[in-house]
Amino acid sequence: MKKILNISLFVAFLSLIAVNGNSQVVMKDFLSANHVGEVSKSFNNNGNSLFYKFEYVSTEGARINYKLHLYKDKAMSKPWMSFDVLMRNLNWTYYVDITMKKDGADKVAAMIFKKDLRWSRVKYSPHPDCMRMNPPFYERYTIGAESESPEVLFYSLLNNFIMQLDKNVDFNCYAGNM
Amino acid sequence: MRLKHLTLILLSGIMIFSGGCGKNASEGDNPLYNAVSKPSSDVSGKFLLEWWNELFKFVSTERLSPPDAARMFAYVSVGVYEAQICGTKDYLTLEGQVSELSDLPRPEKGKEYDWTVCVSETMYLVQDGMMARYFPAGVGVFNKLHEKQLAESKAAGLADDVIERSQQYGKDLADAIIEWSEGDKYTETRYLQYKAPSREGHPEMWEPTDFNQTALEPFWGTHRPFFVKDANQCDIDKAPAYKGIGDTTGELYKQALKVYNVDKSLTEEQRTMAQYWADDPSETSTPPGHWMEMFGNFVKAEDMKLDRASEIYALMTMAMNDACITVWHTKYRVDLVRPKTVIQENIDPSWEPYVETPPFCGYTSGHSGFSGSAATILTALIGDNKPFIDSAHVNIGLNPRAFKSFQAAADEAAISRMYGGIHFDCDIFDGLEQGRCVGNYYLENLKTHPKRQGDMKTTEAKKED
Repeated sequence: MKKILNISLFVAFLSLIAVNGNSQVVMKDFLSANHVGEVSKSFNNNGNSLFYKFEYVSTEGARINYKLHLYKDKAMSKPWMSFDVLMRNLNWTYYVDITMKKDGADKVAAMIFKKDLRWSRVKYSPHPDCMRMNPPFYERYTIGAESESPEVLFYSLLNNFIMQLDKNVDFNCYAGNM
Repeated sequence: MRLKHLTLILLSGIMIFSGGCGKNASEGDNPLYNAVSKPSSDVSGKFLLEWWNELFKFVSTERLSPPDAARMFAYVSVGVYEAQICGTKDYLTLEGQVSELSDLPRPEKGKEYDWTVCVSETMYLVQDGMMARYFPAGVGVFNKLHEKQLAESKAAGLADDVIERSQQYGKDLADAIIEWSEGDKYTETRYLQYKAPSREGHPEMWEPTDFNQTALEPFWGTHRPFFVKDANQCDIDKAPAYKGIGDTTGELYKQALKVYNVDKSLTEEQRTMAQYWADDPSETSTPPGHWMEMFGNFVKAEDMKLDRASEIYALMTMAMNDACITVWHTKYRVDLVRPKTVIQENIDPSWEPYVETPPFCGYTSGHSGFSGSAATILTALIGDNKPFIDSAHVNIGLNPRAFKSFQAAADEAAISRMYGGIHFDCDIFDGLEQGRCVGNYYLENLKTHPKRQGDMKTTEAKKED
């Protein structure tokens, strides 16, 4: 009886770890902080690094507003360009929507991360003259090992999103439209 | 002379008295009407929203599938309708009309009941019975709501014996509804094993589109419907052929190419629609719940009375449940491949749709079936070209959307599945047709309000006009 109880407790403990492992990928604390990163060998910066900052703006119910700033210099002193970002952290899905404006027409680049499946996909059809690849090509991104910290997992998610956009989108096309 | 006078007075009294009773009985069509209680047509139906809202949350957090949610909503709605039916002169019971619904308990004649308490008790216990396998996840919330509504009835000055009697009736009715629900084959299909047919030699057949997928509810089409005769009634089969890798001329390939091209140049409006109607089971109340939420706005805005609100909930949810049964029957009978498979085989091997492809065959679209049936019922019972704003998804951060009519909302819900990359045109339009077929059958054949019945126009009748 005692053995059965021990096994049950162990199984419950493992389940708890698994559940927390999934939910901690997008912790609440992450969604009111700024996030800074770098895409090396950027297509949009002549093979040099492209720097970015997700700057927290506000939270309105389920809508978490950020501003994405792109920088061409490591000092990140003045943004090359900026975009409005909407994040939504739901029960099982985490969405990041970047609004790109051109000539009065908005289009949204979306990253959708399924927490339980631990993979994300990027969907964006840029304005026709803003495509770097035609048709656009986005790869499914499977997030790393569960042993990694939630911070590392979260940053890799955002970084992969910007990296895939860098490959597919000519950011310069949006200059002056923000 | 005095005796004659007295006799006349007595006779007049009897005539007036019997005339009064007779008048009550003949005014309405409902033979079950209980004249000693406050009519359910005088009671606001807004308290129903508190229950539905909690159930919607529960469906989302427990990740109920759309068929599961549709079934639960329908049984609870029938319970609600029957719990108040003796309080209304104009509406008729579903007993004897809906499949195998018989021998329902009824209130004692001449005794006073409170229909709000009856309904609240029935909802509380039917949802409990339907959701038993998920508990104790949501039990606390429902217990609190039940206690709150009971306390409100007491605070309103309702007599203890009326409350007790009403609760007892609600309990008896809930038991009967639960027992009735157990005969719909749901329990049996939980234990059936399904092996998806091989696509070898049959490239048109569905296969899972991801590593984690297993076929969802392959036997749902064998369940007992509420009112359509069986799953074949609104069945449809106009799916185009597909010859597999190398087929770049067939109709299904053309529809796949359309899905692909639309995705590659998706406009912001199309993307918004795809996202809005995704009605993801893990984040929302699923498509049937979404339609109930849309109707809930009318219950609130119009302060709809309990009898009318209950009728619309019952008809709409039963029709959605039956549409689901017929659509699922079609899905696994036709067994048609999804756009993702055709696109990856013939156009772009790495393509991913905007919305995640659900784990079941594509033809016909479930959302189209739900939407077609719900919109048909709501159009007939609330009105055509009735503009409304839907804010069902504000809680998941999506902005409200405006629609000019229920049918326009259904059309948008259906086409959104193509924008989302998970359905072909044939899935969408044939699914809508199926849903509307079910909705029209309900409107033409189920008698809930005989006086109004002739005034209602079904979608088919409108087409003829």
